[in-house]
Amino acid sequence: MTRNRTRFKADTKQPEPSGTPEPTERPEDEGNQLSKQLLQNREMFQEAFKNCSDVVFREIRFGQETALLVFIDALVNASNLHDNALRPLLQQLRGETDEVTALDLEERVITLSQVLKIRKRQESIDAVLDGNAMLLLDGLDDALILNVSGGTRRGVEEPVTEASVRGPREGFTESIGTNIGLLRFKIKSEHLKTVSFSIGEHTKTRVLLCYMDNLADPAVIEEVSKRLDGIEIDGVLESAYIEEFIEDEPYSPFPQMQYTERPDTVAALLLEGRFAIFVDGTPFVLMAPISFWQFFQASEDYYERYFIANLIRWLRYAFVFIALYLPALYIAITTYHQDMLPTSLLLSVATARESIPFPAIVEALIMETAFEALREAGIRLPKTVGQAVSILGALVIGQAAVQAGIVSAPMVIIVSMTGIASFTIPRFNGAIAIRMLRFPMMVMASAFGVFGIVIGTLLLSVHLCGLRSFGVPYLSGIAPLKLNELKDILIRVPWWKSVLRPSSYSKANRKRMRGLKPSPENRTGGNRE
Amino acid sequence: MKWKSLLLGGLLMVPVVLSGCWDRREINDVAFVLASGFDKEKDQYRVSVQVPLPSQLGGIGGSGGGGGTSGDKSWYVESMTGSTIREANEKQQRSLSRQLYFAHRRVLLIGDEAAREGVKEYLDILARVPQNRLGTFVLITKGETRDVMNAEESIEQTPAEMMRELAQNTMRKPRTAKHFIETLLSDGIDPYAPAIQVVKTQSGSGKEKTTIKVIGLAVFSKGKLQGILNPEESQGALIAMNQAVQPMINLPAPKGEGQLSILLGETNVNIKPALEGDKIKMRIVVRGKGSLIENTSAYDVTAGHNMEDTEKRLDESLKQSLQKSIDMLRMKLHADPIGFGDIVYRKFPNEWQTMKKDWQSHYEVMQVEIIPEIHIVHTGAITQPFGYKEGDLKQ
Repeated sequence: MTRNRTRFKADTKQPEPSGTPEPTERPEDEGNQLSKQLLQNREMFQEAFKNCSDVVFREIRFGQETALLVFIDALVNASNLHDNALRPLLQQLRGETDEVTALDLEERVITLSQVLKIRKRQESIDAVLDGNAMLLLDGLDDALILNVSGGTRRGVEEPVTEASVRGPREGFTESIGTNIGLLRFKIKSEHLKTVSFSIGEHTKTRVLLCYMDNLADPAVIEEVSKRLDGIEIDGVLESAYIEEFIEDEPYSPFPQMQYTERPDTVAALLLEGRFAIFVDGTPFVLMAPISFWQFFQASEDYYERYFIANLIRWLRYAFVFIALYLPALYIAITTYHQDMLPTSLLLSVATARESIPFPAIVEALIMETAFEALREAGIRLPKTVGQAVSILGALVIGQAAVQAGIVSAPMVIIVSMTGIASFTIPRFNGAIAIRMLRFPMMVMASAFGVFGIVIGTLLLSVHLCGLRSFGVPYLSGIAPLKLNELKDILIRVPWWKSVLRPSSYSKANRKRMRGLKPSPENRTGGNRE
Repeated sequence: MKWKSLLLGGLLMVPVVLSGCWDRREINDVAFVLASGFDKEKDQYRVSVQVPLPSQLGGIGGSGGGGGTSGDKSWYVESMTGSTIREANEKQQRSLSRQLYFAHRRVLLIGDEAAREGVKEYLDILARVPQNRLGTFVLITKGETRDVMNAEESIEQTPAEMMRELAQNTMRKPRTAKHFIETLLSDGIDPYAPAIQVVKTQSGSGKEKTTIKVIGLAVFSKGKLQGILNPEESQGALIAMNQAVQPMINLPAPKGEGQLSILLGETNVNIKPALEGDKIKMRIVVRGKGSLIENTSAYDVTAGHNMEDTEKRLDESLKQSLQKSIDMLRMKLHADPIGFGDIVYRKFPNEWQTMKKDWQSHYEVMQVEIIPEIHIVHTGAITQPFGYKEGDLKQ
């Protein structure tokens, strides 16, 4: 008489649709294998997860068979687990009389979209830690890995660091799956490739390299993949860790990769033939290769009207000059070149500086350092206190210092203008590079006057000209001069005029589109659904 | 490799601290010279400099206490003699706690007695040392420069500023020291400069203040001051030089008493030379637009043919004024600031080579034909003279 029981049998078939060959098992993998005995497996995993109180071991009984479900409660989507794994398992197997193989379970019973079979111990542990649930069956040496990952994560919000007046308000979150989804919403093309890496010994962070394979330079992509493969590190918590490992010049103050929280920026740069690196656990996506001129471009330039965007862009260039040179110029001119000022201005400055005990350079260094400290403090302040302290800093300290005769009024003006100018630079990493460089410039100005400023500029230019970002020269557009790219550096041409992609990034497939100025003659038709 | 770059960086820092800052000049260690005055006392040069006092100019936290004898002045004048100008400056430096800095000198004053003996020696240091700007204005003072520089400032902060603004207002294109030097060095044209003097303001009873006034145009010949034309005499000369700033011509009314004041704007003077044998003939065409700005008579300019009559009389008046100026320049003062010689040189360079040796004699017998073409363009907001009833107007 056959009892009504299901029996689990190791399946002989090897259905591997992916086609990757199984690695041959080496002798030292003996301890890594799962056994057919559920009890042994259970002991093995309980030993591995000893003192991990958040790992759940759930036994399920089917008649006289048992199965074990191992998962971490906070990382799985509980309802998905119950509805699509447990329930079908319990329902379907109640009436089965034949022996059931893992393959049967995978193909017919479990109604999840992703199920894997793993035989190795370490890999199963990794899978459980990744948010999957593991199903162990007595008599099977396979573990079924059920993809039910969930867990609470931050939802899609407006990016905090890159607010804009016009443009999409979505920002990346910490979950890499969501982020790739946001990108795929924008680029609906099969040419968008996403290559997966797992970096970090303890964090095993998932890192995705994305590029358009019909636009990007294959040599660059290969180089990046090589560099990513070569990273050996304990843990990757932020994309900055990866950035420091793969950039060309780690000692340069200028960043060679750009980061952003906005999907539209990433999409725009991918469409120009660059690549992007997504790191799980951080909303900041790295992009490369970049040029120096991108620090002065904000997404808004492309969403506002052509004329206005040009004026604002030129304003930014003027203010970058001010942010870098204004304190140095003030020091140089008032100390060495008093004949360069108009006489009435000179007399006003002389009057203001009459009772100041410090020479110009010392005064400038005091004020600039105080300003940097104020700015740094402002980042850490809680929102409630922030407003009061900024008023305190600006009005009281500045005004009181002038009245006490420690610094002169022109110096306060110079410092605040410089501060405002450095805030106009859209990219934070470019802004801090410029901000930090004004201190050596001030030292050069105090020692050698305008000549010193020229020398400092020369050194800076030499450094920038030799800097490369993944093979692309940092100042490309201006040096080497490519007239086609100037249209995006000096001005921003309207979309209907921007026919070619920048040649520094995409050698193939240069033509972006047929230039179409809006007019009655230029009609293509064919966009209708 | 790493030590190499560190060593290089260290070596690069060495010049910054060793050889940098060697000519550092803080603003409050510098005395800016706003005006210089040159006089001559027998064979010694007397140099006066005017230096502003920044603490008095109204700064926050500035200390009180004057630098000169009179309490609240924001400038003071220091004067010394020496056998050269540089020596006088050195003597001045010895009594000044700050370094003299000449790059902001606004005006250069030369006393008229010193100028009569020749101005060349004062301009040598101006042209030689780069710190001296050639953009300063050269002014001639009647009397000693020291007295002019010590006049009380009224609207501007310092007398130097006042003098500079006055000099700028006398001419359409104020002539700087660079132009002075150029004309001094070239034949055929002589330099000219505004002349100023210290006067007392007539502000009624109460404290009388001194102020500076432009008294005319100083003309030179052969590097020496020849004379100072007063404003009426110099107006013609200025018009001929295209330098007159909106000259005003007063015409007496044809019938009755009162005067018409006409302001000439957009004057343009064209001088063409012609050579007849050995004699030079100059044709001066004066074009301009006149506007009637004041009418103190009962004469109605807009009635009937009055406009043309007035224009004719205006032309005549202008012709006389120009003739008088030019005759005074060539007969009495023997100076040629208008540059007739230069005009002959440009048109007839070959003849000029023979003429230039005794240009003075040619200059005096030169025939001058003045053709004014002035049109009165508008009479302002009202046409008829103000306040007269219909019947009272003199036609």
